[in-house]
Amino acid sequence: MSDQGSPNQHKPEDAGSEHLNIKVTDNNNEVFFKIKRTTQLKKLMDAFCDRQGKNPNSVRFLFDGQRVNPTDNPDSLDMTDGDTLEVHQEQIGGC
Amino acid sequence: MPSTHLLKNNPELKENHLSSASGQSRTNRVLRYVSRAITVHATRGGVAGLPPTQPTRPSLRDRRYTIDVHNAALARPEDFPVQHLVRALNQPDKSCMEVDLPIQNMNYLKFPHPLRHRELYRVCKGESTFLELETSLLTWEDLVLITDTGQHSWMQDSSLNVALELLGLDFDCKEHGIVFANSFSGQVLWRVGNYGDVDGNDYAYHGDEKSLFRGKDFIFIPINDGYHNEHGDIGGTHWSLLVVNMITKTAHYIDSFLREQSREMEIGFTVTVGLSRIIGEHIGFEVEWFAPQQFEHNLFNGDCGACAPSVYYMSFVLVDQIRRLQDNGFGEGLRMVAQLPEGMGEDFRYWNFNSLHVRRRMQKRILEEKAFQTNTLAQQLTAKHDQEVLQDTGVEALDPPLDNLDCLHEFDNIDDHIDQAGESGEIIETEATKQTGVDEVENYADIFMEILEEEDKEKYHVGFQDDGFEDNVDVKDIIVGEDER
Repeated sequence: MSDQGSPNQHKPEDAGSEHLNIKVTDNNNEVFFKIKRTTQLKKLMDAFCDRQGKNPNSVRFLFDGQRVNPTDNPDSLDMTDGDTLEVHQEQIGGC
Repeated sequence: MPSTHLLKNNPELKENHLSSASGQSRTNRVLRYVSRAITVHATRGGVAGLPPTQPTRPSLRDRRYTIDVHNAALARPEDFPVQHLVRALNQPDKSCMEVDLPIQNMNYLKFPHPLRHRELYRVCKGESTFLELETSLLTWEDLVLITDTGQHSWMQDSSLNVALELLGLDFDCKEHGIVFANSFSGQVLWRVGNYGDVDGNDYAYHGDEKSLFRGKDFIFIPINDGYHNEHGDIGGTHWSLLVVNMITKTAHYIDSFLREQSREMEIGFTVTVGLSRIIGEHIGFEVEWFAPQQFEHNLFNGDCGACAPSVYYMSFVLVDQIRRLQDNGFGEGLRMVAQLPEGMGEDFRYWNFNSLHVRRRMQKRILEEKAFQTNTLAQQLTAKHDQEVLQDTGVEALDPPLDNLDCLHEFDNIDDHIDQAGESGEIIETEATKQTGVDEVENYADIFMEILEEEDKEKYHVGFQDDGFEDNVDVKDIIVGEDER
C-alpha cells in the first residue's frame, strides 16, 4: 500500500531517528506501534495478532503490496515514520 | 643484531628472518585444526592464505595439497607418541649466536570456518521463510502442503501466489505487458469494488495497484471466495481465475467449479469493478461457461475438487498462448485470448489434466527457484572469496564466476552472509551467525545423514560437540567419527 498521505511524511528530520511509528491495519482495526528500526517485524506481528486475538499463521502482513518476512525490520524494508502495514486474512482453496 | 623493533620496520629483514624459520614460507603454509575429537592438518602451496577457486593469470605455481585427518583417539594429547615430543625438544637450535632472535615458527593458519559457505548447505527446515520473491513468499510448511493430500491440505494463498509469480517470471511477462496479481491485490480490488472511494481522494492510497495494472495488456488475478470474509479466522474454500484482456477491455471469469450466480462469480465481478475504478477504464465482465471443470477423482479429503491446480494450469495455458501469439505477431489473435470455446471442458480432459501432477509441477518449480537463489548467493560468495584471496597479488582469475564481481552489489551487506577470516585467520563472528549458526549446522548434518548409505549410518555416527573452535563463538561444529562401539 502506498504511504501517500502519511501524516508524518513532512517530517524528514524523523527519518534518521532510532524509533518509528508504524500503523498496522486490517481494514477494520488500526493499531500503532513504536519500534526500533532494527527490530524484527515478527515482534510487531505477534503483538498485533495477540491484541486482535488472531492466529499469526492465519494472517499475512504486506508493505507496499509486498509480503513481509517476519525477519525483516524497518531498515531492511526502507520504512519511514508513519508507514502502514496491511494485514490480510489467509486465503485457502481446494487442492 | 636484529631486534623486534628492527624486524617490524624492515620488511626485508623480517622476510629473511621468516625464511630462516621456514624454507618454504610462501608456499608451505600450514592449516591446522585440533579439537578433542579430531585433528586436521593440511599443508599447501600458494601465494598466501587460502587458494582461489578459479584458474589464474599468471598461473600460480604448482601446488600440492596434503591433508591429514586423525580421528578422536589419535587426537588426544595423551595418545600422542611420546617420542615425537622428545624429538621436538631435542631439536638443535639453528641460531648460532645468542644475540640472534629466537626463530619464530610460522603461525598455523586456521581452517576456514565451516559456516563460511553455509548458504550452500542451507536447507529449509526450521526457516520461517523458504522462498521469497519480489511480492510473495512461502514457508516450508506451505511448500510441503502443495502435494499433501491429507485432511487439511488446502492450497494456501502463499503457495499459489508464489507459483503464479514464478509463472510470470518464466514467461517474461513483465516485458510483454502481462501481469500476475497476487491474491492480496485481488482482495484490495475487491474492497475498492465493494466500498468505492471511501477516502474521497481518487484512490490515492492505491498507487501501487495503479502502477501495477495500468498499461498492461493482460492481467491475471486469482479469486478467492474468502475475499469478503475479511474478519474471520480463515478466508475461503475455493480458488478461481480472472483474466483481464485489456485489448478488448474484458474480464473473463474462469471457474473450474462453475455454478450459476455463485458467490465466487459475484466476487469476480466486484474485483472487475474495483480494477475499473483504480485504472479509470471501463472493463466488461464475462463468465466463461465452457471453462474446464475439475475432476472429482482428484479430490483430497474434505474438498470437492482441485480448484487451485486448475487456476495454475489455466494460467499456464493462457499465458503460453499469449506469448506464442505475441512472438509470432498474431496481434489479432490476442483479442480472442481467454474466450474459451464450447467443448473446452471436454478437451481439458484430453489434455491429461491431473491435479497432482500440476501440484508437483508447482512444487518442483519452487524448489528450482530456491536452488537458483541459493546457487546465486553461493557463487557470489565464491566471487568475494577469490577477490579477497587475489587482492594485491597481481594475479587475476581467468574465469571469474557468475556475471563477474558486479553482482556483489546485490547484497549490500554480503558480509552478513559470510564469516570473515581476518588477516590472522581468525574467525569473526557475525550477528547472523550468532542467530542461526546452530540450526544451520544441524541442517548440514541432516543432509549428511541423508547422503550416508544405510550401512554407513550404522558404521558412523554424526554428532555435535562444543570443542572450542573459536573461544568466543557459540556454535557447534560437526564431527564425524567412528562409532565407539
